[in-house]
Amino acid sequence: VTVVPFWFGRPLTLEHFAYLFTNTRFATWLGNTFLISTFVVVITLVLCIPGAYALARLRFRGAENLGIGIFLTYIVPPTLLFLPMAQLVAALGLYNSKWGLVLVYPTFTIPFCLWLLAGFFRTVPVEIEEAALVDGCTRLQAVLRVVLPLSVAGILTAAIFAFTLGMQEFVYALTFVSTSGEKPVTLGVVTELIRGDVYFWGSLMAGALLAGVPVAVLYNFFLDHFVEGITGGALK
Amino acid sequence: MEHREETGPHALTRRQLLRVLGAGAIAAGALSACLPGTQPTAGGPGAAPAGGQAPAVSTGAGNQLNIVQWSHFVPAYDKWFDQYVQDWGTKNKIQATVDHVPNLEMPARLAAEAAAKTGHDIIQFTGQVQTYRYEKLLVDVGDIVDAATKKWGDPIPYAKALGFINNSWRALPDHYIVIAPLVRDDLMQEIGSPKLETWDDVRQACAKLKAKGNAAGLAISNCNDANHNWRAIMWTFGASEVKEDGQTVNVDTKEFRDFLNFAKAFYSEAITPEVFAWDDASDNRWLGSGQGGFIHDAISSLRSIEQPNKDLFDKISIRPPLKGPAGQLTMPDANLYAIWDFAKNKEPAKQFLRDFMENWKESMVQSTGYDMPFYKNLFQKPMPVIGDSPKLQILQDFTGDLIHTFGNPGPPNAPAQEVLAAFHIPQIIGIYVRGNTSLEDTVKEAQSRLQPIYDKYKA
Repeated sequence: VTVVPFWFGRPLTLEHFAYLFTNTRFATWLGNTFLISTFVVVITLVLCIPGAYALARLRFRGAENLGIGIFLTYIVPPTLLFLPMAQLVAALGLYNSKWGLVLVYPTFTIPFCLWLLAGFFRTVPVEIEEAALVDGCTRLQAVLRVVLPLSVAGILTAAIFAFTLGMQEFVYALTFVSTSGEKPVTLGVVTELIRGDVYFWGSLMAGALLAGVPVAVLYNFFLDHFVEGITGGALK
Repeated sequence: MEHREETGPHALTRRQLLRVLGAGAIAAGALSACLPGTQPTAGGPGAAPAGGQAPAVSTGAGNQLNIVQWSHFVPAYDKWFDQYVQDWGTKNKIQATVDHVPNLEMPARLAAEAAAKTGHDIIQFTGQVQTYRYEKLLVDVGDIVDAATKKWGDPIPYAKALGFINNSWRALPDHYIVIAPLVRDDLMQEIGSPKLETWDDVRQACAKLKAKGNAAGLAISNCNDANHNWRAIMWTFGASEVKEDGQTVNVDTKEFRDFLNFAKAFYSEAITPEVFAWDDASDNRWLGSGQGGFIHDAISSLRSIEQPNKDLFDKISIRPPLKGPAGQLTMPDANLYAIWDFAKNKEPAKQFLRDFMENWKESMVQSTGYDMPFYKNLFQKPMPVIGDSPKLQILQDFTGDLIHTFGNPGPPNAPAQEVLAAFHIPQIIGIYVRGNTSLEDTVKEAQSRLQPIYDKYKA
């Protein structure tokens, strides 16, 4: 052994970071990723908050089975779905566009977040909501003014999950997008930094770090809410 | 019975709420579909690549050309190729773009394009050549091959096996990648410089090297290297997964058993268990670490050492194809271009391929000798780059009867491609060499895996 395996064998360098920004379109990919993930979060929350509330509160016939059915769609892997999805995305004229990913990613974020939020909404005491109704609120007002403020932790958790699920997706990105300027970071770094049987490990790791740091910061900001949200549905 | 909780005068009924939900869903869907920028826009995150390249979706006919091909292991090659495409487009007043995809991901990409009937005009098959699978979706490029044949002679049989399907050329042979024995000469000298003409010679030599901590590196895993290396060994033992008809599974034979026994001996004596977890780059790293005594791979593994570790590079030599009891064969990786039948720009695509194939010599130069041509007369020595290099000139001999493709001795047809893509051969070897499964049970396992695949395509 010529070097200590637990310490740096070569001088520290920033060349791999520099390579990312000078020889690849890393900044564009990173921007695409955040754009896609942000839209995915918005779409997911817009659909999941009322959906989860309906499943948790309205108790209509078949609600439980519907909830289970929606969640089951989450476990169908993208490797099975990408072919029919490709036809759908092409028919909508979104092939080879990041907007195709914005359309497709909610198909796996919504089932997960719907389930997560439904569990959280069930923990909000129904009496508080009823008190709001007695005080003159409509159902919608009760949801907006009482339930949602009490569910911030759960909503933030769902948002973070949707964001990270959108950030880490690969199969749909690979099969629907090929133009460099439209790629998210997961696809871009793999395309540019894995060449045949040669892996540019330094730049790959630099790319992973740079893409991961904002998410780590995001988690850190909302850590308390996140813990509360992820455990909120565990007890009634 | 209605399951209604709300009773207040202003309560939102379930029906109303569902209406709101439905309207919200439609609005969100419409919003995401109608947002501007479904194509890259200048200056934005989706801006076209430097140099003003166009979006790669086929939106018009005749004045665009979209190409998808692998990310070449030499980054400079891609820069040269991308510039060539751009210059060609400017010269021909065609908006030409090229996109790059890692070779292992290309089958998924092509499957999506075939399903959607949209995407690129020119596609590249890399390693896992799927000309049989997509035969009916590919344009006949026989006229381009004919033009090449007039200039450079017939395509070598290996090229014909991959591109000539049912009497028509469905893909244009572009280049292949030699897979060769790469040997640490200094380590071999330490054990008396044994001859390395056969796989059994390598087994014996590498058994000695393994004892010194310099084992051979041959992946037994789901990767391309395992596919081509173990097939090469299998063929040199006279074994094959299928007979010449390309339909009859051929694993219940003495030759296949001999091959499995050799694989087991090679594994236990010459390599280490970590090969079960290897990918296509693992043997490169093994050789580059200075530990590996032998690998069997493309020259990219050698080139990637050349710059960071010239001393090590100098100690490695490329040897001739290894022999077995039944012959001397290798399995290179081939790259072929094809044009989708649903492409909107077929004529520009054909014109591009006609023009680009004239650059075979520059392709060899830019790829640092990696891209080998497919036409007989182009093998006149010295070939570009490799012909004048004492280390690389041996690569000029990796042609003719020495190279075969998957499915050998039959065609590389759809079932053979499926067996290749599912990595059945390396997996069967892995089952046997671990020592928990008998030889007969392994053969039965091989038969039970391959027979349904070949039966499926017969039907």
